[in-house]
Amino acid sequence: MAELHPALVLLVGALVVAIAPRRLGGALTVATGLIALAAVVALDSGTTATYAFYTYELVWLQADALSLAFATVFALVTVLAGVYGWSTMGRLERAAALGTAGAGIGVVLAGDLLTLFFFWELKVSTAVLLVFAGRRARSDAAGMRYLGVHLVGGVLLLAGVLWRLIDTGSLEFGPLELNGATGFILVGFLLSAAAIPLNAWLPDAYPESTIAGTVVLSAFTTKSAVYVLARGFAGLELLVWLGVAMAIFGVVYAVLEDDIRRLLSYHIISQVGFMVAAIGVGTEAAINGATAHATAHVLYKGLLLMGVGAVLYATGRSRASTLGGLSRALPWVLVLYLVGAASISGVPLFSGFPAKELAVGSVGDGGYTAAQWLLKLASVGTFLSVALKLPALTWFGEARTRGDEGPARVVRSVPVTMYAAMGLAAAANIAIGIRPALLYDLMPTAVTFEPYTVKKLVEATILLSFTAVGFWLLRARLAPAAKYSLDTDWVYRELPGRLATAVRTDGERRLPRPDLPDLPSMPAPPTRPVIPSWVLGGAIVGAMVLVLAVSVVA
Amino acid sequence: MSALTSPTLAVRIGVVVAALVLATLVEIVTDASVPGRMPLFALGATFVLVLGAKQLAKLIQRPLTAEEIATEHLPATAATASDASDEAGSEGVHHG
Repeated sequence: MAELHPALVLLVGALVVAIAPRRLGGALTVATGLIALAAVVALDSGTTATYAFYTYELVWLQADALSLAFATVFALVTVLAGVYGWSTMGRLERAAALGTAGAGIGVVLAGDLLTLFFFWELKVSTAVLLVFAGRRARSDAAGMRYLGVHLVGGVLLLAGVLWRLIDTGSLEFGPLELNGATGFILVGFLLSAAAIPLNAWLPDAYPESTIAGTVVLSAFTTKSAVYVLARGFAGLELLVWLGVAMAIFGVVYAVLEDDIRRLLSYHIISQVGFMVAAIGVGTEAAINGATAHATAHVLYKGLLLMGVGAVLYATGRSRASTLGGLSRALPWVLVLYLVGAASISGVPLFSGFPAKELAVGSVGDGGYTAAQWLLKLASVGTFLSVALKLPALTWFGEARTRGDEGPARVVRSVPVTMYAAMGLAAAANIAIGIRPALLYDLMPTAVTFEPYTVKKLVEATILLSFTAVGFWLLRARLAPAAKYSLDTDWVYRELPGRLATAVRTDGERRLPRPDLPDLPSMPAPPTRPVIPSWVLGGAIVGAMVLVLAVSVVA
Repeated sequence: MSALTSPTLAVRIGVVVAALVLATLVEIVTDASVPGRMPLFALGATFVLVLGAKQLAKLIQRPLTAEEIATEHLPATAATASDASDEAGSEGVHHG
């Protein structure tokens, strides 16, 4: 009997939602997510489905313990996002969310590299619509940059897949040995995982999406990249140190960030760093750790983004320097946010504790003691910025206003559907924290790790307590300021403009200015395009050069 | 009054020392880890992250431009009237 592919359920659901009456959109989105969840649960490990594509037999569904762990949490968060966005999402947004979810599940269930590439690009194509759904000039520009960056990543991935096909005649997707062809594939995966220095697209695009769109984006893009890294490059030592660098980089930027959605976006980079480091260790325990961390992360990061999304919905703003004093107006949002914050910080009895202990512990057990301590340093930064700084600046203290508005600030009611989704996500995080077997039973191999020992509880409690003491001592230095932190996107967003200005200035200095008659005033120049032509042109030329290079080498 | 005799500083030092002593005692009693290592690590890491980030900020941060501030308001403030009918949250409209 042909298996019901969960991705197909979601993609058909996306088409239905796109044409169905708007009033049915919320119910259809949630129902589609529930059917997809049921389809994932119904899949047995070892299930495969193939199809003929010219002379190749491609595997469009291959379920095993690793892929099912990711597929299960992907389907679950689709339902949560559907509930969360019930009263805020538009028709296009719902369809794009279901499309992204379907493509994400398609990636983790793909059994060969060509099918993987198809779903990979489908994921980019639908995810960018969630950025555009922000419907502002800023989201348009961020969406185009997202598209440009991921176009390059997609071309690299395809180049690697084709090169490997020509070299080996195989499209099989399993453990890959690093060489020229798989190097292209690796860079394509790392770009989607937001590995530094290929990370800037993430904090650029996610905060510009809609309130619910950001929740969807955070669940699928980087986590499907974590899955393919675990599947293809487990044990690659480079990933250990790359992951550690990502973990620290993300929290340093989060400590500085004023925009609370950008802060959490930088935190995605940091948390993915934990997963990448564990994948680099590559032992069974480490792959379990990376998978457990990814699974829990989808749930607690979703909850955190729902919380700040509710603040944004209620106040229309997301910079800490214009927030503060919301504890009376949005107390339940604070409580639910704090459940997510406790989870991501690894507080005992919340989901992050069993997940992070397993991941970080496996890095130390793998012989990378220095990496383990650096990940603990990143954990300090996580608690500091997500659980202490962000709530302190958002919900407590004096209400801060923008310079161009009066002292009064209106805080709108938050829809019950938002509370319902946050409540469900919080319940899931607490349930996993209290009963880690709920998480560990999903892992690729049997987990014998015991998180709740006296030693681990004491260490975690002391780590968190003294971070809080440090925050108390240094809180004045964390005062919010309306500033923007430059990231590696400076290279393609600001450097060309500066070079152009420098060249123009230099040319104007050297060339004599001719005497010109008075000319009639010119009409105003057209508004700047959302994407500079050199970016688009560069991406296209780069893609052509890569395809040409692969053809020649092959 | 010098900085060292400032009550605020004295309180801070007192709190930190008391916390360190308590944490070290707990570590000794439970035989959890090398006494004093984890509290000093956490405290040191917090200082390194915050002060290091502030130094880095001098290099990588710039003030938001007027255009960026003007365009930052997100669609939430311009929500359609139909949204209001969907709202049944327990938290009413507040003026803060």
